[in-house]
Amino acid sequence: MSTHPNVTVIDRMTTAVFENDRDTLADLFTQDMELHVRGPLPSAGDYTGVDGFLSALGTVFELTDGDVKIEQLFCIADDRWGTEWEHAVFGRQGRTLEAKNAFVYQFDGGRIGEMWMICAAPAGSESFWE
Amino acid sequence: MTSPSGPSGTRSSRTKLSSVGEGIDRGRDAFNRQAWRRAYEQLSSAARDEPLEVDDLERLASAAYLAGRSEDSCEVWARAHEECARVGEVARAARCAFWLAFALLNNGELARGGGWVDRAQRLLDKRKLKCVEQGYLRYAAALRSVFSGDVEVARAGFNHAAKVGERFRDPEISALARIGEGRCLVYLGEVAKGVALLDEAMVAVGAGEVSPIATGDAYCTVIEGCQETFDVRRAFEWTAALSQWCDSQPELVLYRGQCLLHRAELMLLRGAWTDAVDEVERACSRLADAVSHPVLGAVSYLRGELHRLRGELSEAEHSYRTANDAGRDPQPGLALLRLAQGRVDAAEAAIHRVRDEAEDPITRARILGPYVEIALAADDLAGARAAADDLATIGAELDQPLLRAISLQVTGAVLLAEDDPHAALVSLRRSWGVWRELEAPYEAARSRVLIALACRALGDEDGAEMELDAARAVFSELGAAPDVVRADSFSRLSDRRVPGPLSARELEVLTLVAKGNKNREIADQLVISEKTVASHLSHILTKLGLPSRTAATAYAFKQGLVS
Repeated sequence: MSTHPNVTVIDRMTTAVFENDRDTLADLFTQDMELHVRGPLPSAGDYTGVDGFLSALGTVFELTDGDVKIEQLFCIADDRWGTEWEHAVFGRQGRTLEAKNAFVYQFDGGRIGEMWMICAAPAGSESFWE
Repeated sequence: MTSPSGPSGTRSSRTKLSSVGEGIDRGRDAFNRQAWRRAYEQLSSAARDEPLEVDDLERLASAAYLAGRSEDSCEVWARAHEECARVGEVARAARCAFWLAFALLNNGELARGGGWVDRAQRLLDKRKLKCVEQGYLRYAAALRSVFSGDVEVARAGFNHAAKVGERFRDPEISALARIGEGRCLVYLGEVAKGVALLDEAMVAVGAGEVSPIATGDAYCTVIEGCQETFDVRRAFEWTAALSQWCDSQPELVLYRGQCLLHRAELMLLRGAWTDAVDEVERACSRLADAVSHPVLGAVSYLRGELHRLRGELSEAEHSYRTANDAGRDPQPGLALLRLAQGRVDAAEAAIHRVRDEAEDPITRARILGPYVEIALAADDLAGARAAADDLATIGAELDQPLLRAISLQVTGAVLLAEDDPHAALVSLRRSWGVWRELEAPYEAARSRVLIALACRALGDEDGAEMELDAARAVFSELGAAPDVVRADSFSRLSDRRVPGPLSARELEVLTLVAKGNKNREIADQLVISEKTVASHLSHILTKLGLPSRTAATAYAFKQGLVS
């Protein structure tokens, strides 16, 4: 079975995040793209556009001083929807936090129009970010 | 009840374990003190008795590399990589593979190095892992591209690596990648942008934010970049910083050879030729047991240059061959050697070939000075003019004093050959002024010889002789025997010439005798035996019809060989 083009869009978006590649993200998002972050993360909230998206993720990189490792466990998509499950490891001030993150993507003409990120970190993990 | 061997066997094992543990502790301690050889010895000895943890394998591999044991280092990085991969630490396995590839690529082993980059990349891709190691591997892939000559692809790769480094706030990969990108931009003609990137990256290096391996590599890469752009001021600055860094780690071998090489190159420019010879010899001895072919080639080339300038033509030939064997193109030095040997056709063929191969302006700029000199000797005035104009265009773009001085000098030489001494004099005097500002006595004296010829063409014989005298004194002081002979050949005052057929080497020995050196000291300076010095001196006395060493000294002063 060949990979759906929207899976490639998600993979390209992930790579662009890690390369801080604003131009590629602008290509992959609709202009009014919305991001909703939920769960015990310091950046939980709602964001719009490339700037909002990068500021949400930037907070995580800032607080961990870049000590972030993300492993994609699976990713599937069709023309309208996509979903991704990843294992994340964060390091901060000598401590390590492992979490599973779920993503849901809504596509609009091959671009990401809306996405949800739900962090499923263990109970009490809020203190990691304080 | 235990068997007789039991307790003693247990005690022995315990003692051995304790001794291994102490060895590891001593190795770690040496590593922290940057005593690389001792760290390597302690940790490799401990590793023979008990498998090391990955942390210690990484220390051992780094220490081995810095102590000049590149092959051992690669073997340990491979072991650390396998251990990390075995326990599922994929990112760390990729990092170990990176350092292994880094060593191999920098040693010119592109296939082996590239293989490790691909292997590590596959590991990360298979796990769909996003981590800072992606940036390290991007950097290594770009390094492979640059060594393969694909500068445009390399630039893009370094840029990606730098972005990953910034995202992950990793100063090491950010600095290395920015330096790589800066060098590529210089090659691609965007010199100012490239140099700005180099300066920016070196802030992190100077602040001690990167590992010793990356620090040494950064210094050497930036110094090479400065030399490529003829930026003497920056080259001096960074060479001084590299020297200080090397001196703070007496057991450092890896970058010591490069450091001595860079110092020698600057000494050559500043006219400290004897010191430059010493530095080259020290660099060679440093490299003898830690062969790094690219550096060995560069050191041998520089040694060839020093021999050529001093008129030791067969020694120069040998050094250029050694440089070539080590992978360093022996040009343009070899072409100039052929010119000095009177083989103008061979010199011309070689320099044409080299110029045709030099595609980018930076590489061409290094060739065009010698090209003009050889073209003029071959009566190819049109070729000399075209090369001088090309150099002037590149010089205007780079705007560096060193390149400006070379350009003005060769333009002056061409104008002289074109029978325009007025214009030649203007260009040559400006060239001489810049050489003086750069404190480059040999090149300044070469400009003065040309100024003398321009004065003579304008009928000013006194001016010509004074310029020749001044140039000759500098050449004598430096031991530039062929230039002394050349300056004499232009002089119309026959009594200023050194009578008798003294060879270049004999002239050099006579100069050193006159400066008060004993035979032992002369032997050390010229890297020949004391017996050979005595033999040269005997020939000098015979040829000049002089009775003693004292008479030879008086003669040398009278002839202006020493001031």
